[in-house]
Amino acid sequence: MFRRLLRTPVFAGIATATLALGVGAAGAVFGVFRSVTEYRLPFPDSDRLMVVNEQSLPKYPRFSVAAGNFRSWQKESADVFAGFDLSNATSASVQLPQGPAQTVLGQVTFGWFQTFGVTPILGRSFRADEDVPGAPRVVVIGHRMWKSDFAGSTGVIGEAVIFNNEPHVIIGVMPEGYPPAGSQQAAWRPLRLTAEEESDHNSHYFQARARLRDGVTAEQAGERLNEIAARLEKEFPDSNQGWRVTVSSFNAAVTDEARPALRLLLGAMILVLLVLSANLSTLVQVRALDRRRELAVRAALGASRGALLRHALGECLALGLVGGGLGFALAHLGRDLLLRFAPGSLSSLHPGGPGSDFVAPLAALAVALGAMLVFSLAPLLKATEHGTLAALHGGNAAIGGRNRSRRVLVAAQLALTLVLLACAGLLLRGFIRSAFVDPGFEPDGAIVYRVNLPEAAYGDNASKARFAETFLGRLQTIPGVESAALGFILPFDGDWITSAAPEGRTYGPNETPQAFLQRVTPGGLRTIGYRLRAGRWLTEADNATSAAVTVVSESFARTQFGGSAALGQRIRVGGVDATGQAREIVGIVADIQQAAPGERLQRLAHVIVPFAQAPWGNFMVVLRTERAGPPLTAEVKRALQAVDPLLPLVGGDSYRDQLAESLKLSRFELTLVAIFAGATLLLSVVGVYGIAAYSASRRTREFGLRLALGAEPRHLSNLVFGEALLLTALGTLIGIPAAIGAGRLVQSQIHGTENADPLTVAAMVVILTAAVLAAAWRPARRAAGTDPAAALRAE
Amino acid sequence: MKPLIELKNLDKSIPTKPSPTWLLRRITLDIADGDFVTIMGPSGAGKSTLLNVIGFYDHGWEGEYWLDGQPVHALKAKERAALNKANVGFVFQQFHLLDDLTVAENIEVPLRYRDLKSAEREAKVADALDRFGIVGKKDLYPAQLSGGQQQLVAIARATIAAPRLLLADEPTGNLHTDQGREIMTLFKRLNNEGTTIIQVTHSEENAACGNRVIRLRDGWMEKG
Repeated sequence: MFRRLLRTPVFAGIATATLALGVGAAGAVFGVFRSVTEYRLPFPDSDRLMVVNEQSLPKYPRFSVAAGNFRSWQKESADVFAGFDLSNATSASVQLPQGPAQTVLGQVTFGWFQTFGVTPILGRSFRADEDVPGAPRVVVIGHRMWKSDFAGSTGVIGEAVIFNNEPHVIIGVMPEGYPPAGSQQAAWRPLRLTAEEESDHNSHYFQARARLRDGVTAEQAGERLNEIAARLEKEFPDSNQGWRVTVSSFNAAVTDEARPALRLLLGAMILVLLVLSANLSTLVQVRALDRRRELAVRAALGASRGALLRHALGECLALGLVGGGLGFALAHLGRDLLLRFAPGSLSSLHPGGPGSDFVAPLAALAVALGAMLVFSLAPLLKATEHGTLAALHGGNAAIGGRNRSRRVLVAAQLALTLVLLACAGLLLRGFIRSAFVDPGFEPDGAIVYRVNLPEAAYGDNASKARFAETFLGRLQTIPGVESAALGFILPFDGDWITSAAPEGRTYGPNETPQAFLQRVTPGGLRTIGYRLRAGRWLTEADNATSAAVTVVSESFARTQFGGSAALGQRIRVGGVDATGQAREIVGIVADIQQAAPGERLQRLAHVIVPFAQAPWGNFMVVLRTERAGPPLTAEVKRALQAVDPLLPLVGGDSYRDQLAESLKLSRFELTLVAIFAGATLLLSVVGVYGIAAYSASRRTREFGLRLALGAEPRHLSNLVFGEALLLTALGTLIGIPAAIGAGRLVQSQIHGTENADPLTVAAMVVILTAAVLAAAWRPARRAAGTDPAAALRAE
Repeated sequence: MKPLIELKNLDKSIPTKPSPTWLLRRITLDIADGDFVTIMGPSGAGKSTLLNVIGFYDHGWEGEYWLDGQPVHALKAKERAALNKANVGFVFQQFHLLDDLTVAENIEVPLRYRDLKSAEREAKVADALDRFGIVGKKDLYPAQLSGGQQQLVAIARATIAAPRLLLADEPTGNLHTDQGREIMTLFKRLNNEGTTIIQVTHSEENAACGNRVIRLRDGWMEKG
């Protein structure tokens, strides 16, 4: 069997490579898909762990939780939840022997670890009496921090460590594997909700996790919480109107971000598998036809149909063994590579159970081999059905015969390829738009750092404003610094959405205009590179004691005041202005891109307030320097420590890198689809080449005859190209509606893409046609070089 | 009068080891315009090779070949193709009709390579169908015809572009005797109308239809 395959190295090589590619790709993608869909957090009975979110449709399908609501739910849901806790995370400075460092500190209600079902490997977790305002500060540190900063010492319990300028006593060390994949939290302390927070139904900035009781489903738990939410809506209509609760699996939530890309990938994979099967079918059909004489001889010598079937099966199995073996290796490699280069939480996933290593590639192999067998059987049976005489006499009486089923197969391959190419084209367009969109500011040449002021040392607004003023003054004295700004939350660094209501207007619940809030130091707008459209910049005169002012973006001015009429108008900015107060719009800047175009909230308008009038403890430092050269991190660090030696400095990257990071997921999706579109194009080209080469070889006598009848070589190559173009036209005809449908699907799954437009589809048809013509080029040249005498003698 | 075809010391060999195999040796031959020549000889004598050389389908030969005063041996490939198109028609033993074309379409094939307008082509095809008495078969496919009918179509196709020279390689080799006779009658008619015919055959009866026989043996022309 192997010997016969080795005698036809081109067929064996193409079939093996095609099988290996298909099995490998299917295995890799299904492997990743299973890793994601079957992902289980490394906690006991993790299927019962739930994420609880608030929801206000249609704007916020999943939103963070308000502490006041949480307390109400918690009190009345003990029958559905065995544990129900709250957390948030804060960026915190930590004093380590090697100097101050920045870390992420989790703040959790005392039952948090029990809800997860994890216990510290050293010490203990929190007690209820530690989770109240004013209780002594205690902390549980993560395994990584314990190993790296405390050398894994068992004597660490009882030691004090300073977080955010406050000493915390270490009471426990968490095991390896906590926190779950994707989390950056290094240590945890009790949340210590204040009475004010416990009655706040309006500030949604907490994360809630719960553990279902045995026998309770997520739906039942959701119903219970929504009963409570309906009651809270009546009790607190101002804050709770329209708010509901969702309860969903935590396991699934970890991989939520990557699911649309994976669904797309899975679709692409199925198309590749179809193309692969069609391709292999064409190959084996062609080969079976070439072997009809051999089969006829075998039949004439007494081989039964069963024997011929075993013969074909044996060949498929031999190919399957080699191609499948290579494919399995590729699947393993491909899955690991995909996971390694995947963005976000996906990159920290591990493959699913051991079964996932075999099921998918085996299924792909079975589909491909099944298709091969079916398509090799038809010519085989034909060879025995019509007797052996014709085949033994060459069976070549027909000149210029066609094979409809092979044509249909190749046309179908081309149609599927067009679908994938169109999807790749849409993603590429979305990506280009994301990458080259005008962000509304000037990220090039700006360097960014982050500074976090601990509440313990900077508890009031005045101290924060003082720090900002002093630090900014020092930054501006660094040689080479052209200008400096402090701001929160600046573009591509997250978002803070707040209400921004024009004075004198009244709104129903959830109807108040929303906008991104930014707090920026004087001169900062120019440093970041915003463009002033009307009015004036914020200046040093806009300080804590002066009149409250704001600068808004063009879309805010347009939607709320119809444009430049906004200047001089007054708005109340939620979270900044007290009830009954408002601030005057003194400037309008060009619209700003707050987040990557792929993200949902990118289109909101902006309101920007002077930092001195709304100080904040976390901010981004933006420096614009006169010269390109070595980063100024050392000088910036000195400037910071001159103001407060305990504060760590984080960052030093260019603002452009910040934007690039935000494009990572779309680049991942694009890369995946491009790889699959490329592979499909390659497979289709192989298919077209196969059919064109085979068809040309079958038509040698026809070509010889046509030459004898007066044709020129170009007429013959035109015949080959013509057939290839006919197949392309047929494939395009089928493929265009399918591509448009697939485009809609891509658009629904991946933000930042648009429907399949005529330009993209046309461009992909051109690429496909070019690829097909390239595939037909060699057979066409061979046809043009036909020797008529030799061709006609071949009878 | 200058002959239509002049061959002078024409050699044809194929490279084999240790020495080349000669297919044609020193063929010197004149064929006059309007001749009906039969080439005969045992299998492997070089009959079809000589026919292919005369029909321009075989290029690897040495010597001189003049067609209607044109030095074929000195022409470039394109010029040879043009000369062939203008002068030569070919009939094969296996008919070589294109199976997916109808009778009319098969007859039209040579005209498609000769810069003729569609209406002109249609008129010539209609004329040929009429002349060969196959109007009723024009929409049939080759598989629907008998061997004799297929060869009739092949001859109609070979003569549609009005060649001066018709070459036929065993034109009746795949036909019953009666069908063979009909084809030969047709050849005689074409020859009488002015077409020069060179046929390869094993049949003395067919050879008798022509006015001259050339015998080949091992690539050499027999004297006499």
